[in-house]
Order: sequence, then C-alpha cells, then structure tokens
Amino acid sequence: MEPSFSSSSSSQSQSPNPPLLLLAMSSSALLHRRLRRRVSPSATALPFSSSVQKVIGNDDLLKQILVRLPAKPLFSFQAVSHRWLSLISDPYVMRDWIAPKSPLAFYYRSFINDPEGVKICQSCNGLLLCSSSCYSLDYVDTKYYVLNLTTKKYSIIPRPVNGDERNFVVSMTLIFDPSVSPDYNILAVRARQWRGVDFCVALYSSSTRTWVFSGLSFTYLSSIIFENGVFLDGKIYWPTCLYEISIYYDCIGHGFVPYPMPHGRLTKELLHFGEFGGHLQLVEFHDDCIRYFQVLELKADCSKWL
Amino acid sequence: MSSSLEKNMLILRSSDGEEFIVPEVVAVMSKAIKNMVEDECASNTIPVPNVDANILAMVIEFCKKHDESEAEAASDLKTFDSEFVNRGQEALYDLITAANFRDVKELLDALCQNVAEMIKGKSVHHIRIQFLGYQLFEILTSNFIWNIWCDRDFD
Repeated sequence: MEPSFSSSSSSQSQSPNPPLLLLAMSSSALLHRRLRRRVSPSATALPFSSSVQKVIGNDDLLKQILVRLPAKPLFSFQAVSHRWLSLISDPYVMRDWIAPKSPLAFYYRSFINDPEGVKICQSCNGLLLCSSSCYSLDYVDTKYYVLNLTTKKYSIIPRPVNGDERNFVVSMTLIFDPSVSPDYNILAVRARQWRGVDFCVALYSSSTRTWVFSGLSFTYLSSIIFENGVFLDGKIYWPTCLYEISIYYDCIGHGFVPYPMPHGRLTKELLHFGEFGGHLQLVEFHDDCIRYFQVLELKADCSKWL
Repeated sequence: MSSSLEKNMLILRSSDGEEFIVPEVVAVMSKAIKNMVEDECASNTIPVPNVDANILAMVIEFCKKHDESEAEAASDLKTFDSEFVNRGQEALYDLITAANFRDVKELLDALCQNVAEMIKGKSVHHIRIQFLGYQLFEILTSNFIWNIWCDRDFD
C-alpha cells in the first residue's frame, strides 16, 4: 500500500523515507503531518470534503446508503473499516435492506425483464405480487405484476386509475385462496393526497381484468403500515405501530373492521407480521436484546393476542 | 407581500440570510418544518440553519416539483428525480445533509439511492480513499493485520 503513495507524492521531501522508518517514529504528530502531505495528491484527484464527511460520518445516513446496495458490494464493503463492518453486520441495520432481498427476486428480475428491476410486494398462496419500482413512491409508470410460481406465467396489472382523480396507490394486496376460487383479486388502497389520511379502495378481479372502484372510503391515522398487508381467511390485516387498534379488510362483507394490536405503542422492534399455520402472527424483539424475541398470535375471532 | 402571505405562504430563511417565499404545502414536505408549523411555534419566517441558499433552492425545487406532479398526475417524476440527483459530489452530499436535517423523506430516498449506485462498482480501496481519507493514518499503522485480511480479493 505504501509504495503507491510514494509514487504519487510530490517529491518535496528531502530524503525518501522507507516505510519501516515511518512506522518506527514515535512522534505521531509528525508522522501524521507527513502522511497527510503524501496523501494530498490523490486526495485532490478524489476529493473528500467536509460535506462528504458529514454524510459518511453520520451512522444513520451511511446506513441509508448501505441498505440500497446489492449484496456483493455490500459485503465486500465490510472491509472498508471497523465502523462499516459493524454497521453492515448489525441486524437492526440490515433488517431495512431494500436491495433484492430474495433469490427469487433475482430470478424473476430477468424473467420479467423490467429495466427498473422488480420488488416483491407480497406473496399469497403461490402467487407473487411484484412492482417494478424499488422506490417506495408510486410513480405513474410503476408497473405491477402477478406471478404464478408454479406455472411461471405472469400478468401485468394496470394501475388503478379512475378518470383524472388525484390519488396515489399506498398498497396493493393480493386476495387469492385456491380453495375458494381459481381467480384472484387485488385490493388497492389509495390515498387522496400525497400523504393524506383519507383512503379509498379499488378491487381488481383477474376474471374481468378490470378495476372496480368502490365508494368505500375511510379516514385513518397514517400509522398503519400498509405495505405489510397479510391475507388470511378472507381478511386482509395491516399492523399499526402507534395505536392499540388496527384494521382489517373483510373481503366478503367489503368493509373495514377494527381489531386490537398487542401494545398501545410498539416500542419493541417489529420483526415479522405474517401468517403461519392459519394464524396471524407477530414476532417482535424482546427489549433491546436481539437474542430474544416474542411471538404473538391473534385469536381466530380477532379478540386478542396470545 | 401581505396578499401572498394570506394564501398560506411561508418564508424560509437560509443560513446565509437569503429568503425564499414558498407555499405552505411545499414547505411542509419537510417533516421538521411541518412540525414547527403544526406546533404554531413558527411565525411566517422560518429560519433554516445549516442550509445555505444554494442548497435550499435545490431542496425547494425538488419539493415544488413533487407537489406539482401530485396535482397533474406524476408524469415524468422519475426522470426528474434521476436528473435532479445527478450533480457534483459537493452539492450531492450537502443535499443529503440538508434532506436529513429537514427530514424530506422522498429527497433523501432518491439521493441515497444515487450514492449507492455510484459506489456499488467501486473497490474497497477506492471507498477508503474517497470516504475515509482522513483515517488513512489510522488504517495504515494500527490495523496492519486487518489490512492484510481486507486486501484479499473478494471476487
């Protein structure tokens, strides 16, 4: 490593210092100054300024950048420094990793052949709902796909547009139960404003291939995590992080019904919200220790968590 | 001025004293400003410390664009985003700091994505020089073994 700097350094120093001598010197201040001068030519070629340092020196911001990297560079960057290593190996940080999460995404990225890449939004009884944007924003050209993992066929779902109504797709959730019907539906929750609290819904049916815009609308606090919809037994559940009551959508009665959440305020880290063995389960970390976690299960009548 | 203020306009003052008149809907895309407005602790002029006029102008441009496209069906928002974040190093990182400090989530998302795109093809050595230049002394001397381990070829 040392020779590369000597070669690029300006030849101002009177005598060339061999690396051993450098290391042996006790005055670290002097050493530091010397290294600084040696480094400076390459530093001007690749500027690192105070604004770069402000961003990279901030754990939160560095984390924001790291979670957007694909797997290979991410893990090789563990070698950059101790700090990067500890950030990249921190499970709390990597829980937010939004680069292609599963091998399936890699596979179907080439399968669907969308230049933007494909993000898996939800899986439901053998169908995958994917969107073409890796951003959380809903752009006008965001495409939605439904993939059948068994037949490897996919269909493109049009965006739910109703005239010139201004609204934004907050979430799309698959409704598919092969024991009930071979057709699937998709429920889209749309916000009337960019980040408003009024929502309305639209239902897509695979048999008619059209969206039906229901008059059903509701106002709800924005703390519902709509991305995490779970379809189970004809209901779509969403978790909430701030209130004791969340809502589920009843696909038969077509309405929103409140159900309780285990805590008033989910201070513990939400690890997983999903369906297992016919029950809705919520896994959360216990206290601050990542080795313990708690699994809660919603009773079938939606009255309380066990 | 007073007539424009009636239509929910806010004045943002950058760290170097320049003032920007911005509609409230645009300004509250920053959560920090939104909180100030909601708590009614802000008069019409909101100081935006740590952010200079250049950067503030860019942030406002971004927020305005996003607000407009809300009104007229976000057509070329993505193109705008990718062009917007395509700037020089200095401005890019200043923008990230500002977006983080003012809590403008959309902007922060777009910018971090851009940085990730930029660095994903780089080598570890390159990242060190670019980001950790000031730590070279430490890396060269104290982490001797660590260095040898790191210089392995990851491919």
